Amino acid sequence: MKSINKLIALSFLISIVAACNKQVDLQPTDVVPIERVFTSVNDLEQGVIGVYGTWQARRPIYLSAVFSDEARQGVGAEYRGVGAILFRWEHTSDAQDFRDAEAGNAWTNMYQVIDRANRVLFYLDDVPATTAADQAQKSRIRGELLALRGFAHFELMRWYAQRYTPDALGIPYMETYAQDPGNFRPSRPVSSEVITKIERDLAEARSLIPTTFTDISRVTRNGVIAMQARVALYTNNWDSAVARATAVINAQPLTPRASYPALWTTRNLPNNQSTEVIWKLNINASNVGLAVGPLFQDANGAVQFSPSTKLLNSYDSVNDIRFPTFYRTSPRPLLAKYGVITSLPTTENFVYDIKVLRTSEMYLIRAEAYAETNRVALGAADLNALRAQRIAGYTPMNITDRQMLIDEIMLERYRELAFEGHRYFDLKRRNLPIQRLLADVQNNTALQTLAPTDPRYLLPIPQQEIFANPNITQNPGY
Amino acid sequence: MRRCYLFLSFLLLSILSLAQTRTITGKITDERGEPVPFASVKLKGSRSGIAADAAGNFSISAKDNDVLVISGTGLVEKEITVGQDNVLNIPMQRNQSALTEVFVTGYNTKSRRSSAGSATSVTIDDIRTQPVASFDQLLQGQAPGINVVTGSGQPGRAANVTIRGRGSISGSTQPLYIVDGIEINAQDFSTLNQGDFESVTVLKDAAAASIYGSRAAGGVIVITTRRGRVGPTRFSYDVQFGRSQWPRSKLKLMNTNQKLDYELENGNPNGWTMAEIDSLRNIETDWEKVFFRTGITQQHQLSASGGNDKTRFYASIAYLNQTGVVQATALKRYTGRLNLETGNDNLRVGMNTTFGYSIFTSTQENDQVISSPLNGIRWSLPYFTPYDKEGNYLQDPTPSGQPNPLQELLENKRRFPQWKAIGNVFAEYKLPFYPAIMLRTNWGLDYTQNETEIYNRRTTAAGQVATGGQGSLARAFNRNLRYIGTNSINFKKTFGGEHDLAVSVYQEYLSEQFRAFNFTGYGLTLPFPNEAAITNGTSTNGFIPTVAGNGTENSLVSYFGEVDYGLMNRYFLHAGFRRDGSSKFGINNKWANFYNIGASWIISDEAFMESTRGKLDLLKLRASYGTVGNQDGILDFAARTQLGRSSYAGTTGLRLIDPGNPDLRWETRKTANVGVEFGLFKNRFGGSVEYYHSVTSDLFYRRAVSGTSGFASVLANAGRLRNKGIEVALRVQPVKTSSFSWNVEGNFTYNKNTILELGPDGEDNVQNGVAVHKIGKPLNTLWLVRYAGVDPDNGDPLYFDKEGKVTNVYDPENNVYLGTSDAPYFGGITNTFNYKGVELQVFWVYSLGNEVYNNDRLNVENPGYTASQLSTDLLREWRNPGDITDVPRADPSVYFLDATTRFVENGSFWRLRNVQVSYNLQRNLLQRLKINSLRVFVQGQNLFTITKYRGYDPEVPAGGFINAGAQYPTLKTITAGVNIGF
Repeated sequence: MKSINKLIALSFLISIVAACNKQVDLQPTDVVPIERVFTSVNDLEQGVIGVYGTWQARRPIYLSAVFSDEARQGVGAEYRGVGAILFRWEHTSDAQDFRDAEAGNAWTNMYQVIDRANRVLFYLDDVPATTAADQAQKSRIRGELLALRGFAHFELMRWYAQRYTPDALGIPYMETYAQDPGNFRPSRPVSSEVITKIERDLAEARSLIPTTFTDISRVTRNGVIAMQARVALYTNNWDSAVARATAVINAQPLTPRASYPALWTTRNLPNNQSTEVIWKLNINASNVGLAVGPLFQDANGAVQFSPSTKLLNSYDSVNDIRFPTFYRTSPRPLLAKYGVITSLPTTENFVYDIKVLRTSEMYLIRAEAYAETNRVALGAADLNALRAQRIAGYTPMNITDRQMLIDEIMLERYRELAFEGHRYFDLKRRNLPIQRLLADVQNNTALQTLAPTDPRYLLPIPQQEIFANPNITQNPGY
Repeated sequence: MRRCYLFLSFLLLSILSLAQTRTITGKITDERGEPVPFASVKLKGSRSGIAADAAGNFSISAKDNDVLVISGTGLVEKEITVGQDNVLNIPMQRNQSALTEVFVTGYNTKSRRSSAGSATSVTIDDIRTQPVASFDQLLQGQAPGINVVTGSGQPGRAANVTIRGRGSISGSTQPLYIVDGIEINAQDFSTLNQGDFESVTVLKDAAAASIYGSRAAGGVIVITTRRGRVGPTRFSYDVQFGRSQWPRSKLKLMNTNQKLDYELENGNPNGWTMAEIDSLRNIETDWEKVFFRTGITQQHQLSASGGNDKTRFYASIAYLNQTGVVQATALKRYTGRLNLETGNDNLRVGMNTTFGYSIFTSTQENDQVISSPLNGIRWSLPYFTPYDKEGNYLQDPTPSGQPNPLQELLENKRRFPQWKAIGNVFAEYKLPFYPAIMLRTNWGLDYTQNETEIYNRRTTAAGQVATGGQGSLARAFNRNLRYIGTNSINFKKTFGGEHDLAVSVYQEYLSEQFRAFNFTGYGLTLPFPNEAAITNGTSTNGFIPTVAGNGTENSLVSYFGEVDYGLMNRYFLHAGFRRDGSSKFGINNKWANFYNIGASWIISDEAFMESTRGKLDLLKLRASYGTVGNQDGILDFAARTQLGRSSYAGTTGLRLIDPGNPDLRWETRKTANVGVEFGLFKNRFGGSVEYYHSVTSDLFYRRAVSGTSGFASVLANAGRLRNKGIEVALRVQPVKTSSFSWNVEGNFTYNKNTILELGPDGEDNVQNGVAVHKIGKPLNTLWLVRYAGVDPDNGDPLYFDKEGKVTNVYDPENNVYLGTSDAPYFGGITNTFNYKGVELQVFWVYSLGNEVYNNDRLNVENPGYTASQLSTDLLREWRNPGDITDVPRADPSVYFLDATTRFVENGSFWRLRNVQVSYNLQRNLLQRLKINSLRVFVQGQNLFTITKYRGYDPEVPAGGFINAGAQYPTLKTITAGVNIGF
């Protein structure tokens, strides 16, 4: 073989790699580290919207309906056992309904709202606002955040305070966010301390939110005052209750009977003060997971809870506009306040705004405050004024007895505010037993009455919290 | 501060080489100086070579620095560089066992003889032709330590693979899959053609897997694809056809008369009149027959391989079409590959590329959703038919709410096309002036593009529950790009004849980017099965479509190296180190170090073992210890405090989604491994026994925090988990004659998993459905009240309390710890018989000692579901005082408590996974046909299963301790095929 001279010239470049820490220091693209976000008033606006988006207003509605005498369980194969433990009062502090992400638990959600509000408040002061418009917006945002923080704490008080008296155990008040969640273990102060802070937040919010801000999907000044009125009611602060309720009633009158059904059949009410809705949480396709309707009826029409016979019987089914508005009786009793499926196929998707504060509640608050302060005639007038806007041909009821007035107000709250997250808290507030009709408990007498003295009457602090935070005192009975 | 660790650059190396050819002669001997006859002597990198004569003498033409490669039967291949001597006497080493094999680690190739680590090679030729679309399924029973639960028989579904036990609670426990140096996802195997695979190695212990550092805690499965073979181009065509059947279910349902009678005895929940009942009694629908068909499998592959001393290639095209036994389920796959490499003695460059396109049409499985068609098989009433006389779909009028499952299956569409491209390029350069050093760079990418199309026709139940109630079309699209670059310097040299040293240092960069978007349109009022049918959404019509998307990325930077030292080819030491930096972790713990050490000793080569030669061919001891890590199973930015999108009132806002944890760090698994390998009687009997002990610490753990912080939990590291076990692999050749041989290979694994520590606050019991995480118990331990049967007096269900006393009160306080759903004992046995070219291979797999909660059974034994189909077990339910039975009375007032052992079943099984008869045509016939090889075969899969489990399949879906329902079991498949080489 002929020998060959070979010339091999190789150019070989393996690599030039400057491997530095920066290659493992990636920045997310869909989420942003918090410290870089809040630089303008517009960013704060985004933050406050995030707080509204966190609020799950359906939780008290579900709890109150299932736990008290508003609802009855579904039956047969379509009933998936939703809320059975809660309905049967067989709950423990670790029951599914009190776990995170379940509709019955406000503990996690309200503290989420509070934390998200506190995080925005933390950065708020440092955000520059140079123009007058920016300054006004920044101050309003601060007002909204304080109102949301205060009212979220009040919601927690409604659920977990042992009694609504100043000396009873309240819930931890978060004035700023927890820097190190892993080692944050607060204890429960007495109610009066919490209420003082709630009142302070709401008062400041009231001064910061201008009356010109009329978006009822946000907290307006009317919204703050209505929140204050509810706080006054729960704390027996009767004079304030009258004054605050009056302020709201004057600013946003009752929706009359004729337009009342539209209040409930309109999926998304206009975001202005043209109706009696003072504050609502908007539901649309993007947050349909927070809608109320699916809690009680499945998308295929299967009924998990229907209105109780006791509730249906409490109305004048012919003349009371609320009866056909709130319920269906054909083919069977169904709740229609947040959408209803009576037959398939259906276009019902349960996308309805959740009304949190309404003027009719203000009437009932004021009536109760009058009654408690022995101004029975004034109270009866408020009650009759509300009924006149709900019942066709209503003859004003002549009430002279204080207790009778209070009973009538409780009845009216049951009817007007049914499935709006009031009933259980109203009973607890007035130390009344939960009483159900035999027909609503499938003839199981054990499920008829729950006395305020029963250990299951109070709601437990979720067991998860007790595990993670040994400083929290559990409510008695759990 | 930014630190730069390594800066490699090799630029413009120019070499001038001049040489002359001359004749080299020599003699080849063995260790004892005895001549070795007929050994082959070749010039490396060339096709020219000669054979030595019977006395071991040879003569060959060569140049200076040419490398002679000497090989022969029973010899360890040896390379000699031609120097100044023209006469070479070459002592060779006898090949004493199968240990001359090599295995690939993905970064390099190692000699099995010297390896201190635990690595098992899977005999790919045995399994490649099995008609399963997702390759990971085929690993079942193939090697000790790998537990494969097939989970689903749906064509194209990936299996659940665990190596040496679950090492994580909330992180990933999947092994790392590496194909030609590139990491890929298990679920993408359905778009890869296993016909292209050449070797599969499972790296199990720290010494073997630690080179993968932070990704190796679940073990590593390294796959290489075929390289071209030197020689004229050879083609091969592989084809097979087959049919699949549905396995019989042990869970029997009522027939029409049984069901109607049962309904009448239990309050007639569907409200039939006597006339209706009489007419319904004439109908008897077997819903299994309605749903099932014979599945068809066909597979074609044409490949070509060839090359010369410089360039070689392998190319293939393949097609697979598998239809499931459930109507409307199928996988179609088209793949192509080209592997090409070229170069000379110093420089080699090459690339391996493949593309794949698969279309997966599926049905929902592993759920208990009423609209899932597979649940309809169980829940549909036998006295209804799917169609009326005109062929229209009939709807179940009862309050059961069961939609027509056949309509759901056939009218709706679930289609998942996937596009995939994997490719790598590499260059290797041996320094001409110092060939002991080789530089290598390898760059690869894995590109995956997935589409999801879920069409729900408006006439179906799924379409009616969609937003707007008029059907929905969801289309999602995502793409994932992962690329990885590895640079290495490898040094390998023998000093003084008995010191072998190999040192490699590597630097690697891995980056992964993911993007997705999707939309769902509603109001499909037009007859088109696609976007054209969507009604534009308005604020009033309820058809507003949803649109969303997301993206994320992560990266990993690594520096690592390993040292292997061998003394006298008997004593071996190994050490490795890897430093990984990951974008996933907290600023305080981004970087982590992993290390491993190992040693092995070939005892049988010692002089003092001289006396056993001939009987004991091999005895090897090895031991290793080291650490690997896990960073899989957490979100890419889990360590950061982040704001995400929030939607409210049609506007979007910012909301805190995670508090982050700057201290988040790696899960670390420490493994100690000892093993012994042996071969006896000329290797007719051999195997290995290993013991391993591993502890994973710093487990990813969602630590519960006070809810007042606004969070329920924070992702942190806490807890420890132990896996220890024994692995045995044995092979024996009981019979070997010139015309007949019988080989048995088997493996057995025992793995004991124990939770040593849970949360940071001494948590000792975290519930997880019907299972629990409990210190001292394995993961997925079932935790339920023991069922004690039925009270003959009143039909009440009875339970055992904590003390073992019978009570009629159900109380979760009486829960006891039961078995685990992860089988502790598993393995496989293969018997191979050869007779004159006919081969019969019988492959069994087994999995023993686990328990499964049979929720599928619960749903047809629940007296609350009287309106829908029920199990025949309820025919023996308690009716009258004195009845002795195990099924309680069907009184709706008896609250149905299902968290009891009544539905816990033994999940053990033995399964005849594959039987294959094949015939290789004899050489003289082949020559007459002018082809190189011809093999015909018939094989049957899963023909026979021994189990007590009452369901379709004891292998419940991935990761589950529960058979939720809608099970798509492993199929019985028979195929026949031909492999032709020409």
